[in-house]
Order: sequence, then structure tokens, then C-alpha cells
Amino acid sequence: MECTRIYSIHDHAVTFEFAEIISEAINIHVIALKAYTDRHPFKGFIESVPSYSSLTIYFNHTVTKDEVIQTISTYNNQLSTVTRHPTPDCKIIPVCYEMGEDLPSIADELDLTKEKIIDLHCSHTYRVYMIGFTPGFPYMGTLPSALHLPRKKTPALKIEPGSVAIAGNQTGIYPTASPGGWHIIGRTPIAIFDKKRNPSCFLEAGDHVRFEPIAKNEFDVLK
Amino acid sequence: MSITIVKPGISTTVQDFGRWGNQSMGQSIGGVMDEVSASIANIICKNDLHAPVIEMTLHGTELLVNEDAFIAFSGFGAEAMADETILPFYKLLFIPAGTVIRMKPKNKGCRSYLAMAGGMQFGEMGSTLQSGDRVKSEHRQYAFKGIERTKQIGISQWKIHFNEQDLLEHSIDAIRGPEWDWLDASAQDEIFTKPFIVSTQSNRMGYRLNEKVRGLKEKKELISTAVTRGVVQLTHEGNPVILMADAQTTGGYPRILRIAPAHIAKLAQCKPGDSIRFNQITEDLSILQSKAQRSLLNKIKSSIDLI
Repeated sequence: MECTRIYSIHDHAVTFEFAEIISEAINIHVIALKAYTDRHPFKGFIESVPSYSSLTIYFNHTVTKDEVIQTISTYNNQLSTVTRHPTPDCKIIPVCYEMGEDLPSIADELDLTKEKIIDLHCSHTYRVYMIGFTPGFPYMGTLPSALHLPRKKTPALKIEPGSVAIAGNQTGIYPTASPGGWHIIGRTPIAIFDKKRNPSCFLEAGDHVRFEPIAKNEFDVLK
Repeated sequence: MSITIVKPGISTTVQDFGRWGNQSMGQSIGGVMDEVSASIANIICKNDLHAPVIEMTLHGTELLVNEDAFIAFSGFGAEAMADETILPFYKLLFIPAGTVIRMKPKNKGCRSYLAMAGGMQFGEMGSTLQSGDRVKSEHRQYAFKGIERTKQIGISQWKIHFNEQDLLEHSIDAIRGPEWDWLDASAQDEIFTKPFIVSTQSNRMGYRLNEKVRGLKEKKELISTAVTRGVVQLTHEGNPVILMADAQTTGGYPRILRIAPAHIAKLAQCKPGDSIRFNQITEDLSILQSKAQRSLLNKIKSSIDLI
């Protein structure tokens, strides 16, 4: 896959962009390039950070930007010959939808019953496109179109850890207490981010995820 | 050696020089805001250049030295006092056990650093220090030439000399960002001519600027992509935000500028209310500036190694 744009975000960080849209095929390529780069670290390489449709390479002053561009372009060309990507296992995330504080208001807004929203949210397999915003926050897509809603006009000041949320064509999980503008439809008892655990993130970019409804008493047991 | 935090003041943290390798999990790099000042404090204590230090924002911090310690202060956020004695910055200090150090207003810069000979140990780097927290150094056998280890405060005869003004003036070099072209010509012109005030909504994550920049030609949404320290994002309201040490790893606002890495230390010393100006430079010049900054630190280090 060809880069559509290569640019610096820092003297020591170059971004390789493959599109300006959200696409599963492009994200698969980005994650594959990240994995390949991590397996073939070059002199001066620090780390690689994927997003929806781009990969950013951080490096130190022992290597020049032009050398990094050369290396990653070579990696990218080598990758193009590898077309098969195994489908990852699907991770199941239990969600207590009773704890979704915004469910009543968005049911009104979407003109759907709460049960229908839960059904729709659980009926799809989602891809983790990237981790960002706060440590461990997974950006997952694509949400069924019946559930698409703009973000809240005024972000909530404190969202509980484990809150499962939707916004636009995305769904996500708030790993830690933080402010946020997405609509909260449930809560998972799973620790999405735990600094003391290895790996600290329950999910990583490229994972496949399904949600499974649980009752409040099951949530309390699993918590 | 160890130091206990009596009062944390506005914000006191224990910082290394950043933790890399976890940005793909959304974990920011963190680390000291002003790497130049923090490195100089370490050089004075003959520590590794990037050993952990205490970072203090403005004044109000109070520290108790529990055991005899060799320490050094750097930066411009406050003045250090032990009772009536001024503890000079940029000198090696011997502080006897039981001394209480108070950081008093100075009104020069924003951040001060305290390094302790032997480095520092504290649970998690980047933590905000609270009253009662204790920061330790493993090494006890420190002796420095020309400074007595007595029951009195000792102050080295020598002092690190460098041009303070280099870190205190507010002309900030910047390079065009990835979405520079999204701005119309007048906005592009405005950015490098008008002064911007650092807002009170500024912290270790980012500095918000009070003045708005209007003239975004492109109305499209940027899908979330990588950001890092020094990236200047233009928010929906039109206020630029300069990402600093605790920057998030991804963002969705247009990145109109990126600050020359060698000028981040100057920004770290800017307080809310300070007026800054952006000066356009090329990436090549920026890389040379970073190289010059590394050489300056090495030069200072060599001069101390001779003592």
C-alpha cells in the first residue's frame, strides 16, 4: 500500500499516512507495518505508534529523518507482498447495560427502545482501530448506523472507569475516571487498563471485540 | 539521603526525562518540562544527565531534608530559602539534616528543579508529590571537593555560568505543522506576527493561548492521529494549544505548528499571563539548535568534571 503523505510532527517523529478516512483495510496495513517495524528495529528507532490510518515512528538523533523514511518505505514495500493477515481471536467484553446512564436519553434521541440499542450494540464484531486519548482507551468501529450520534455538546466532567460509550460511528471504553464527551450506554467489570499488569492494556490495536450483556448482580460478582 | 515534602505548593512532581515505549497504549511520555535546567541541576550533583529530579511549579513548596544531603537548584520558578539564608541556584549545596527549605516567589520563570547527589528514588516517576512523601537517594558516601560536610549549610564557591536570558526570553521558534495549509494566508501571517498570551488553563499537558486564530480554510474533520510534545493544535474555538510534556498520544485537531525542540525549555519557563511570539524557522535550523543545546550541556558537564 502506497503512502499518501509523509510528514514530521517533531524533528524526531515522522508520520506515514495511508489515507484520510477510517477504513479497516488501511488499519490492517498500518498495524502490519507497525508489527514489521517492531520486529526489525533500526539504529536510532524508539517506538512506533499506530492510529486509524497512519503510523508514526519516533527516533533519536543518531539517525536522520531521511534515513528513517528510506527504511520505513523499504519495510512498506516488503509488506505489500504479504497479503494474508490472520483474523485475530474475538475478545468478549461483558457489559452491564443497566449502568448506562445515558441510555434513556439516547433512546429518545435515536427513537429506539433501550433493548433495541443493546441488541444492536451486541450484534456486531468491532475492530480496535487504535488506542489513544487516555492510557488504554480503545477506539472501536464500526457502530451500526442506527446508533450514530454526535458527541455530547458539553462533555461530562467525570466518567466512571469501565464505562462503555458510543459517539459517531465509534464505540469505546473509558479505562480510567476522566472527562469525556461520548454517550455512556453501559459499564464493564473488566479492567481495561492496569499499570501493574503485563500487558497493561486489555485490548490492543487490531483486536476484534464483541460485547455481551450481563445483569447488575453478575457485574458485582465479576468486579 | 532523603527529603520529605512538607507542603507540595502549586504543583510538585518527581520527574525523569520521559518514559518511552508505551505510546501505542495511549501512555504519554511525560518527564521534566525544562530539560535544560533539569540537566544542569544533575550536572552540578555529578549525577547522570537524565537522573530523576523534583520539579516545582512557581513557589510554595516546602521541603524537609531528613539526612545530610548534597543538592542543587536550577530553573527560574522561585527562590529557595532556609530560614533567612538564601540558597543560591546553580551552585552545589550541602544541607545538614533537619533543614527546612521554602520556595519563595521570584517572578522570573515558572519551574525550578532540585537534584540530589546520587539521584532520586520514588515509586512512580511523574507522580505528584503530596505532604509526607519521601524522596530518597541510595548513596550516602558523597563528598565534594571544596565543600565541607559540617553542621552548617555549605555553598560551593563556583557557580554554573550560562546566559539566563536564553531561557527567559519569549520568542519561540516554530516550524510549519502538518495542517499548516489548512489556514488561509491572513491566518498564516497572523501567527508569526501577533503576540499570544499563555492562558491560566495551562498545565503540564499543554498551554492554551488566549488569542484566537481565525481562518481555517479546510472545514473537514481530522481523524485522530499522532501528536506529541511541541505540536500546536488549533481547537474548534480557535485557541491554539501547545502540547507539553504530558501530551496525549493522539489528537484530532489541525496541527498548525510544531515548536523547535530546543525552544521547549523556554516555553516550560513561561507562566500564565506571559506573552509569547512565534518565529518561523526551518527543520534544518531546528536540528542544529538541538545539537548546539546538547553541546552546551556537555561543555558545562566537562567544566564541572574538572572540579
